[in-house]
Amino acid sequence: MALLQALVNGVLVGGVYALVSVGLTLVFGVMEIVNFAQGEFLMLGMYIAYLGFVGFHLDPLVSALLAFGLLFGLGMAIEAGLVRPVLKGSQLGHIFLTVGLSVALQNGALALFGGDFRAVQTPYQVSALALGPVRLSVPYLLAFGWAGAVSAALHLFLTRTGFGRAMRAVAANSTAATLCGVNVARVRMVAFALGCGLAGLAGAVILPYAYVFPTVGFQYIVIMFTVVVLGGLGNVNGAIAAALLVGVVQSVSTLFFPTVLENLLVFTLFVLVLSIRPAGLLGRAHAL
Amino acid sequence: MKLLRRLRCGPLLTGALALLVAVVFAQPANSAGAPAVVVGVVMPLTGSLAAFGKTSLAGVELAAREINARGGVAGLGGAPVKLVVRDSTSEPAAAANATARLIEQAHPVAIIGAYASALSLTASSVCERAGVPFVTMSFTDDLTSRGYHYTFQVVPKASVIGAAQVSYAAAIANRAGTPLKRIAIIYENTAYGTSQAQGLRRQAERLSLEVALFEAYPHGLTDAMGLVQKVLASRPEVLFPVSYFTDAVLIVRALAQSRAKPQIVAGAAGFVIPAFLEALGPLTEGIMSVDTSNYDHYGKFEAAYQAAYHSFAPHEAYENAISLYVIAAALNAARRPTPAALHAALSAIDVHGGPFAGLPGGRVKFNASGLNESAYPIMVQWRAGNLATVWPREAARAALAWRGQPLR
Repeated sequence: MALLQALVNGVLVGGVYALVSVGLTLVFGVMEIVNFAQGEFLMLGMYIAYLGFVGFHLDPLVSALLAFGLLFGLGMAIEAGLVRPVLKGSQLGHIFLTVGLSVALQNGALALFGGDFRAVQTPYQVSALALGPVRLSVPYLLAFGWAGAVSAALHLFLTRTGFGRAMRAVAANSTAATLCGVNVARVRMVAFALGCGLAGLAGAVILPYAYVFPTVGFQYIVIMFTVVVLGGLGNVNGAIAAALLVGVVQSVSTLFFPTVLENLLVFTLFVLVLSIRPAGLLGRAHAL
Repeated sequence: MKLLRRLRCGPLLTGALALLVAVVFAQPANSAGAPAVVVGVVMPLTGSLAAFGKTSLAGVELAAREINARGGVAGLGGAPVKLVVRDSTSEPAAAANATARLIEQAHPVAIIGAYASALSLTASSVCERAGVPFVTMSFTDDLTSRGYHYTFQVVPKASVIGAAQVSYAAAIANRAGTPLKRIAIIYENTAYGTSQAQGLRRQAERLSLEVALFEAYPHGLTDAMGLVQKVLASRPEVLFPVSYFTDAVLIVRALAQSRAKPQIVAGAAGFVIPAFLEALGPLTEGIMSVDTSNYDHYGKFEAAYQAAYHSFAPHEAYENAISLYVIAAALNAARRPTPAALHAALSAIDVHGGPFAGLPGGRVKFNASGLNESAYPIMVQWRAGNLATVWPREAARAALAWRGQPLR
């Protein structure tokens, strides 16, 4: 019984992990750039949802769309102004840029919003659905729903639209894509913006059960990277599978081990998977 | 020179300058001569503890303003207190660096810091080596059990707070006619969490309570479902969490989703700040917490804080203000603005009443290890969005509710 509950909780939490991680892997897949500021875009999404809630009584699950739009725009600007110039340079330059961006965004948020903890109160955030002996946490269920919708939309976008196919082409081989007439610069800009937008959306979606402060992104970044690397860097489906796995392993491990060791099993698994499949669970996808 | 000439040309500016000079000289006569005495403040102003650092600093600043408005430190010829503030960040190593730099650059007579136990431990080590008194409201026992001479702890230590958390809860349960049997203890694995949890467990064993769960968790949870599932599986009557804000919110929300609702008796920190109410609203109703100062007796400080920050003064604001008041009182007695003279005066200090009335015990007197022995913890409870003191009974101003039932 407890095991069943732990499994259900794990799947729900895993869905949330997938939502916060999918943007990171997308950006890496298309641009081969590791965005260390991804946690900060999550934080900005949370603040947008918070302000929407306080100022306009918008439910965070609705203002998630707003957060997506705003951060998509911000992502485009950042790509054009900051990322593109260093893209041709070494990996080191990418790292310095995104780490610097992360610090700048954290401190910008601190200057703008102060260090206070912010959270919202929604009617559903403390309710749970009883499904036989198992209880489903409503805020997690809603976040999971969003995660499912985003995954489906992303899948359709990448497989059924011309632009999505172009994005996969750039991920697979940017030179070949250029030769085939794909506007690589544009694809990269949209991919980066999509990554930022998705992080913002995720931030808004998790706000009902979480809280926000300027450095909250730090708490999610380890999970993000674990999930993304475990699933295969740049592999969207891999990240989703890895997220669910990490969620379930964490949740079930707390049944048998002390809570402080909840990540022990996760990282043991991480090392094992990478030693058997160095490219990650589903491998380094050449088609996202 | 050019500027001066321009100033002289503009009669308006000259007038303003004259006014400025007049204002400077119009300061209380006793503070005109004495140079300001520098007190360092090291608080987490960035990172996950920034909110606590901000309120802590606010408390010290209010105290400094009040002391200076009253004419500074009389024993030093009316010297005003000048605060030099440094950000410890929320990382212990950085707290040590910030403290070292502060001492090097500003030569403070004392340092107040650094809210969180883990930060105060490293900051106090630096102060000990430099021979600068370190006054703190951090909880952990280690602060005053390392044989340090320059660390002064104005609040009870964590093990005492933890013990009170259990024994007060047991006493309340007895009064309600439902003696306490089964409890669960969860705590974050930090300096604060572990030392307070040890106090909790030892007291529970002394009272022969069954500790059904004694579980550490990593600070900064992203979800508390697994932890709370464990708590519920242990079927406690009372849950004793020792947490900062973020984990506290996740734990309370996750518990609210369950059918069984154990009475929460928390270990201060995240459970007794305005943000806790903002985040949880009606869910706070009935939650109890041990606390280290008594809101009912903050006096003028409470009003000043309310006016300046539009929220009630959390305990860390008050206790950090008290830290400065103790330093000012000691400087007054020391008559010399040096760390050594201040250290001697702090070791001998015995002050009570006035601003110190909000500390249970109402007094500050440090023992040989630097602990303010007269201070003791109290129990507060969230009632209709306010923190009411409910235990010990002689300190209580409000009726309490135990496990959802009002208790007369």
